[in-house]
Amino acid sequence: MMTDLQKFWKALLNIKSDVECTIAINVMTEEYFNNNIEWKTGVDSNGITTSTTTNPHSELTWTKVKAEMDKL
Amino acid sequence: MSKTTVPAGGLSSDSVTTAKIADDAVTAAKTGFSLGKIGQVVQASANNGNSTTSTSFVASTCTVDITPTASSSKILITASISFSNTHNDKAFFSLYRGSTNLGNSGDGFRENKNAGGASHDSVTITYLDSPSSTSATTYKVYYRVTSGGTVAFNPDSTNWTIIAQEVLA
Repeated sequence: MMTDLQKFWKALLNIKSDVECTIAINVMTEEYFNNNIEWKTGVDSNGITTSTTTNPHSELTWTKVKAEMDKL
Repeated sequence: MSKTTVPAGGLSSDSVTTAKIADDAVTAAKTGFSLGKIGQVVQASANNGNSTTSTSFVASTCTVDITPTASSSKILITASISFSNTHNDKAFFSLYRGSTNLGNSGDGFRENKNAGGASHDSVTITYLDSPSSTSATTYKVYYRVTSGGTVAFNPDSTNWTIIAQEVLA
């Protein structure tokens, strides 16, 4: 049986297979999705991911991800 | 200065007690070994975590701060963490001092290759650093995954632990 975390990632990657982002464990609500996910924007000179909490992927909405999660 | 004759057969057992040895009577040069010692020990531990699909390093929640008392001190770091690697890809773990990667620039200190299915595992990173500083210093575990993969840092809310020990020169 898949955990909610596994469902989230599978749903997200089903919609956009190359998306790169970072999330907290066991916190996945619409409010969190819209405001707290760290979406990768690049890499700095130290090899550290740079990110933004503003979702740059228009195809990735909470409604779509949640619907995909519910199929799993 | 008074003189004491040492018996031909040598000193008897327990004849030179600690109380009879003056402060600084025995120097490091005469001991035949280094007198390096642990100056301070700082531990951090918590059960939080995060998860990523990033192919470049992202900060985990495993972090510890220490302020060396001397610039000549070394800092011994030991980090113990658990993770899951949920796809058939590689996960990499490294240790950063501030924004400096102390491991391999791409692969860090440890690599995990999941042969398929969900993988739960643990990893320990041990590293002796020479920060050459007396400023507050942050050590943190970073991690990443290869393209298309997902890695979760501390997915089951067990406790990660990171210990920083100052080794005095």
